[in-house]
Parts: sequence; structure tokens; C-alpha cells
Amino acid sequence: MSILEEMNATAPEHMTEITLPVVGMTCASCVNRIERHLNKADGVSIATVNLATERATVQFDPALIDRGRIVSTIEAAGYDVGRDSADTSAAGGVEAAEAADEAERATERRELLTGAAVSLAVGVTMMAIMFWPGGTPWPMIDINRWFLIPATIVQFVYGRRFLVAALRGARHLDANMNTLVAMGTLAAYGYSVFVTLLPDVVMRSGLGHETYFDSAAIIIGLILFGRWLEARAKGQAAGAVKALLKLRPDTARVLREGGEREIPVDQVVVGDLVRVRPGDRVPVDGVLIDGASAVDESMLTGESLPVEKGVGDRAIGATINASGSFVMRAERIGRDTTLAQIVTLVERAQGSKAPIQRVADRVTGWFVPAVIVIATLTFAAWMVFGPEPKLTYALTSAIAVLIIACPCAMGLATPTAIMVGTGKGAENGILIRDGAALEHAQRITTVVLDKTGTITRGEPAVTVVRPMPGVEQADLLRITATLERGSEHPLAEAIVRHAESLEIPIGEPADFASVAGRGVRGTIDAQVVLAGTPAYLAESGIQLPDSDALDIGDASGVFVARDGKLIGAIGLADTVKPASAGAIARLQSAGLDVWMISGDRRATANAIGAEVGIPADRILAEVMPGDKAARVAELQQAGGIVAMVGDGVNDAPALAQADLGIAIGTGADVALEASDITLVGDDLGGVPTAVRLSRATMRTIRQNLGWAFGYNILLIPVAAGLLFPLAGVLLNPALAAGAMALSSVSVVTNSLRLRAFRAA
Amino acid sequence: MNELEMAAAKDPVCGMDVNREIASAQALTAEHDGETYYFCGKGCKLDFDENPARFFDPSYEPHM
Repeated sequence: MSILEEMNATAPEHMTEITLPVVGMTCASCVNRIERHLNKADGVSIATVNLATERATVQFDPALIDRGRIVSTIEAAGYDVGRDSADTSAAGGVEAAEAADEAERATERRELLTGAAVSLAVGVTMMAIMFWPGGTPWPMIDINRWFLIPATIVQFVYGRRFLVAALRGARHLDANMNTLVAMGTLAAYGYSVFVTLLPDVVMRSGLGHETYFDSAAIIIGLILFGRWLEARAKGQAAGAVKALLKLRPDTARVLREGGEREIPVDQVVVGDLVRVRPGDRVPVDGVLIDGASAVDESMLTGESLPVEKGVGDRAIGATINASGSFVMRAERIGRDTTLAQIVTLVERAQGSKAPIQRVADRVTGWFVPAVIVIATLTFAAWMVFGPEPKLTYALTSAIAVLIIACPCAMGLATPTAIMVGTGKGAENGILIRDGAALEHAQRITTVVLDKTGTITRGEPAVTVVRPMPGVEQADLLRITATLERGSEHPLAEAIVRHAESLEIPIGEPADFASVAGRGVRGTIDAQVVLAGTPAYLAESGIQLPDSDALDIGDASGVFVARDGKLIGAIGLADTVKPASAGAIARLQSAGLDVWMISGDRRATANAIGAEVGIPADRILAEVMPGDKAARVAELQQAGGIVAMVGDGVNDAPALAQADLGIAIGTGADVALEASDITLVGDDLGGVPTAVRLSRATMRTIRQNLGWAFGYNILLIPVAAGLLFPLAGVLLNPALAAGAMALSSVSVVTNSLRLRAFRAA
Repeated sequence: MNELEMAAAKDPVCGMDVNREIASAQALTAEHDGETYYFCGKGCKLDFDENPARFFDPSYEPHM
């Protein structure tokens, strides 16, 4: 059976659809011809060709035909297939969407920066003219007329976004920060227009000819500048996604039709055989079918040592092939690749809101009307109790209150921190689903670790080799490995792997036979050899010694006899991953209650627990898979906020039950979907890092909110003029705007400090 | 007969009027029984090449 046929035999029965651009069609008979050819092809269920759009849409069974053969069918009909950017089956889609987003963000950034620069230039020029050293050489009335047009442009062109948003909010009786900016600047601008256009009325009412065109322009300029900074911070945080996309190579070397061709990576289809040479990036996800190599997976897992890969191992797209050359069968392409899923997770997390932000939103909701009331009261108080000119004082104070209260910084506090935090997580192989997951991660008190596949490797390895007296250890291994080579039992495979790792030569057994679940037999060097359970050997008349002589502890034993006599035993057990003990120690020293959950016998579970530092009273042993979720619920009822760490499918209910589900390994898609956090790496090392990262992020958010609220609460009374009767201090509206923008900048900067976070 | 009509030939496959010069320039022609036939495009020519007799069958209706 060829590799391709093998793939077809195991491929799931489902139809896929692709749309291809067809070049060279002139009339309807061209359409008929292509449709006829495509519909005749094996594996195509239906093909429709559109002359106007020059597109062929083909529904096909990927097990029987692939994109390449559909293209060659169209070519055989006499037409060409063009390159298509809208091919949704291709990974290019992710990148194109990302590029479009980036273009949009770039335009927005440019508009904000232009608006900020023009508004600030206008405002500062106005201010310079008005505060000319030794008094303006021109009458104020003239100056106001010159200012009218530039001020109007700033107010309604560059400040338009605030007015539109405020109006939209007002229709829903919803006041937000745009309402405040719009009200503050419109008050300053409107009053100034009145002074400029009706100088006689102004004169008679005893007002001065001072205008606030400059203040309105500077406020708009500074807020636009703050938004630009925010947009820029967003761009930097989104860099994690871009960095991930850059990992994807452009081309792949596929083996098709007997030859090797380099094709764009978005034309690789499931089942393609792809050659990866040393130094190449692995183009898609797949399984090695030939060759072996060490692969650098650090960009996805953070693991610095290259990972050895042999036939049957999975290679992940975007990782770098460090040493040997190998051929792999493409299994997941385009949007299904690990890389594309990581991108999706990061994007989803970055756009989501943590509950703590909803608190901030609620506060903003009542804060804005409260500020409007305070501004009104301020105006009234100055009109009643203030010194002359009452109207000027009342207006400037009310405007200052409106400006200073602008909750810009509050709006930035949470999203910037979460964006930087999740981006930082992705860099360290920690994929955080959303802001809520990040918030839960810092609240957890209890961590439940699944044993098999999470703390341990989840597959047996040789732990003890016990030859009988007079038998060489290497000899025992050679004979056993030679015999077991024909078996597909996991224990047999582990023994063969162990012998290979010791470079023990393995021969070929003769007369191989196996008894399922009991043992194997064969002839090696003209002697009959048996390997299996003690019962299997006893049945064959082999004398077994008393148990002490071949003590293999908790391990599963394979007993070996040659020529009717026992020659030794090999013990195999699931072994602990190297990173487990260290990660558990770090969780415990972070004050977390660490538990282990396992379906194993208590003795086995306790032995593993002792090895990684989990005491026996923190081990939940002999738990049926279906009961894991219930045990997690019990811990929650006892008052714990529980994080469950599991390796995928059988842990899914427990992952969902827990306050925080953490999936480990690149395993099942189910794991990605069921968990709140996915660790790209294969071990527990990411768990303490995730907890530390979430604590750091939430600390940043609290600092940000404290900063933003404190600033507002502190300065509103100053802006209202409360300090005026005491110290004669009043806040100029332009200065208030400057201080406000500064608070936004400090919040964003505080969030960016998270970029210095380092994995332990 | 004006210039256009002189240049036009009927595509035996789809029945479209084809400009002889343009079709010749694009190699959209075929020889059959000493006659030259002109085609609107590749599809028609390839269909014709595969089985010319089909299009001389009196029951064959040129269609798009």
C-alpha cells in the first residue's frame, strides 16, 4: 500500500469546496467544457463554472482528489488557473485579513496624528499671538476674526469624531467621554464665536474680548494625540500576531507526480508529501513518514532545546528544521494549522473584555452625568458667589471641569494592559483565551493537575532492567528488544526504544508469535525466547523465582525466558516530565494549593506525587475519568478558586468545570476550545508563568484604574474653583486638557511596562 | 459584403461569429477535410479537435 493510498484509507469521508480562478474562458462552451472535465474527474461531486466571474467552484472529496489534480484537470481542458487571493482554503486568508486590519489601523493612526498636529499647531499659534510679550500689537477684536476660520476647521473637521460620537450617544441617552470632550470644546468655541461676532453686546455686558479658540484647539489636539498614542500602543500589542504570521514560510517543497516541486504554501493540500531540508521552516502541520531530525520549536513552545523527531512524530508548521532532512505528510493546512489557531486565540483574547473592565465601564456610565451636574453647579455657584467678571469665571471653570473629568485614561486602563499581557503570554507559549481568563488566573487558590500526560509523559518507558545472576544487562535487553520488535504493544515499543537509545544491536526474531495481552515468543540464535507476564511464562512451564529476586517496584514487568529458563525482567512505568517538579515547586511557593488527580491506584499515584513534591493528602487517586469534574467541583465548594490543568479530551469536562481550565500540549483541538489558557509547550512550566503573568497584568490594571480615577477625583474640585477662595488657584482649560492627556499617556506607558515581563 | 462579414466565420461548436484574423493570430483554427475552421476560444477548438465528426452531424445544434 502506497503512502497516498494509506492516507486515503484513513482520511475522513467529507467533502471540501474550493473556488479557483480560471483564465482564458471566452464563451459558454468553455464553461461546459471545464464543467464536463471536472465532473468526470474522480472524487469531484459537483463543479460549477461561472464565465462572468471567471471562477470554478468545485466540491470534492479530499481523500480522492486534491487541489493540484483539480488544477491539472482544468489545465487538461485547455485553461489556466490563476493565483487567487480570495482562496479561503488557504492560510493566506489569515495573513490577508491581518494585513487589511493593519492597513486600517495605519490609516487611523495617520488621521489621528495629522489631526493632533494641525490642531496643536493652530492652538499654539493662537496662544502665542494672544500672549505676545508686552501685549498684542493688534486689537483683540481683529485677532478674534482671524482665529474664527482656523478654529472652526479644528472644531468641526478634526474634532468631528467627538461631536458625532457624542450625538450618537445622546440619542441613546448615553453619555461617554466623547460627550465630555464635545461639551467642553463646544462651550469654549461657542462662547468665543459669540465674543467675536457680537463685540458690541460683549462690550455692553462688561465681558472682556478674550476668546478660548486656542483652548478648544489645544484640547482637541491633545486628545487626538492621546488617541494616537493609544492606537500606536495597540499596533505594538498586536505585533504578537504579526510576529506569529511572519513565522509562516512562503513556499513548500512538495513531492507530486514523482517529482519535487516548490509551490506556494497556500497550495499545499492535506495529504501532500512535503520535503523539509535542514534550515527550512516546516510549512504546515504534518506527520513524519521518512527521515529524522531535530526541530527547533522554540518560537511556539519557548523550549530552547531542539526536539528530536522520527517517523510517526508530528511536525508543527513554522518551526525550524535544525539538522536532518525529512519527508512529512501534510495533515493540517491553512486555518487549521497550529499557527493559525494560535493567531485566532491571540486575536480573540486581545479583543475581549475582563470583568474588571465592565466595572470601569459602569463607573464611567454614572461618572459622566455626575460630571455634567458638577459642571452645571460650578457654573451656577460662580454666577451667584463669584467675583466679576462672573460670566467669564463661571464659563472657564465649568469648561475646565468638563475637560478634566474626561475619562480617557479610564478607557485605556484595562485594554492596554490586557493587550500587552496576552501578547506577552503568546511570546512565552501561553495562549490566553480572553481577559476573563487572565483575571481568573490571578484569583485562583487551588491548582489541580492531571497526572497522566500532564505531570507524566503519558507513555511507558523502561525504568528497571533486572537480569538474573549470570546474565548481562545488555544481553537481556538485546534479546528482549529483538523479540519485541515484532510487537506493536506500547510496552514492547518502549523496550525497543530503550535498547536503541543504548545503541544495543537488535536482530530479527524467527517464528514470531504473540498472545494478545499476555506475551510473545520467538526463536533467537536457535533458542526459544518468551517474554510477557509471569502468568504467561508459568503456563509455558517456566519456573519463576520468589518475587524479591526480580523486584521491579510499581512498574509493569515484562519477564523474559530463554531456552526454558528465566533470564530476567524489565520494568516499565510512565515517567515524570523533567519540568514537572520545578513547576510544581514554583506553584507551591506562589502560595497555591497544588493537587494531583489520577485514575491510577493510590500506591502508583503516591509514588509519582512523592517524585514531584505533592504530599499524599493532596492526591486524588483512583478517580474515574467521568468523576474528575465532580472532584473539581468539591474543591470549589470547599471555597477554592480552582484551576484545572489537563492534556485534553478526557479532561475536557473538568477543564470546563474549573474556574480556569488550562490545556497542555499541542494535543486535541478540543483542548484549545475547552480551556481558558492553552500552554503551547508540552510541560507544566507554563502554569506558574501564566499565574505570574496574570498577577502582573491585573496589578497593572489596578494601578491604571487607580491612577485614572484618582486623577479625576483629585482635579475636579480644583477645576471647579474650590481652591480659588483659599489660594487663588484656577485651572486654565488648556492646562486641564494637557494634564488629562498626560494621565492617558501615563496609563498607556504603565501598561507597556508589562513588556519587560520575563518567564522564570 | 463588407469587410467585417468577410472576416467573420461561424464557430461550428458554439455558433458564434468569429473574426478570422483574430482567431488565426491566436491559433484558434483547425483543419478538417481541407477546410479551415475558426473558433471563439480554446474550449471550442479543443472540443472540435477531440471529435470533429460530432459537429458535422446534421442533428448537432451549435449552442453556447
